[in-house]
Amino acid sequence: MGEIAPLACGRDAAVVWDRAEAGLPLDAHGRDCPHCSAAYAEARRLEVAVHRMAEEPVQMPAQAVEAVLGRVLETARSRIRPEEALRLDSPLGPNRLARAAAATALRAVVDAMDGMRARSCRIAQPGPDTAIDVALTVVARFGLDLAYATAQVRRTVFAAGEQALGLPVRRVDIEVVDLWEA
Amino acid sequence: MGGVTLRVADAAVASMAAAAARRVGGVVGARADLAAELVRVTISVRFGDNCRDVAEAVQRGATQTLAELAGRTALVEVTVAELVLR
Repeated sequence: MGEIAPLACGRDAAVVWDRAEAGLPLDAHGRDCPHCSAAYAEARRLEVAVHRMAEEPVQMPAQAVEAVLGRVLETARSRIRPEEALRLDSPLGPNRLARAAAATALRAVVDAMDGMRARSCRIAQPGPDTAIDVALTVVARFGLDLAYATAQVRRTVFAAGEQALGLPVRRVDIEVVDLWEA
Repeated sequence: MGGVTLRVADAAVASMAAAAARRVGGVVGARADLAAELVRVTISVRFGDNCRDVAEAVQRGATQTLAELAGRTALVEVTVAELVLR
């Protein structure tokens, strides 16, 4: 970004804009200076317009949503290498599930639990079948019964693997890597 | 009367497969392309729907649609590229 030229009166324009953005009135010089007054008024008009636009609900046309999803899918498909996908059983031939998408889903399931946040999630599918091993690192709220909470996480991940991913979960390893104070 | 030859272009086959995929419950978006005789369908799935079942339903729907509309027997492979969390 280039330097901002000073106003004709010699004052730094950014100082005037900052006052306008913060809702502060002009100082004594600014009130009497036509250059400062003009810059201040311009910044206030911009500020009002930006706030008005930010408060307007965004209406995404269905076609735009479809176009964005299409681009996401194109990118994802072209980037998913065989080793980055998990096998899904099907009588018509195997299908694939992006490993990153599965990990995102399992992290979301953990994040929805009280007092737990997932930090990382690795999923392996080591055998000839489709069963998966899940390794999670989590952070927990200070004071939480960790044995109880991690047992809950384990149960939830087992259920989500089966129900949402369609993959039997063989093993869930959980490492609590940090605590936070509420 | 002379014979009639029907040729369905690869792009049309891909469009049919993607359209069939979008009709399956839980599919949020779908794209398809062809690699030789393999039809690759890439989908995003609403989180909460079973990915394995949705992928199989897409595979079945696309296979059937291509057979009915294009007279084409194709091997369909489905990739769930994204789970849409709502």
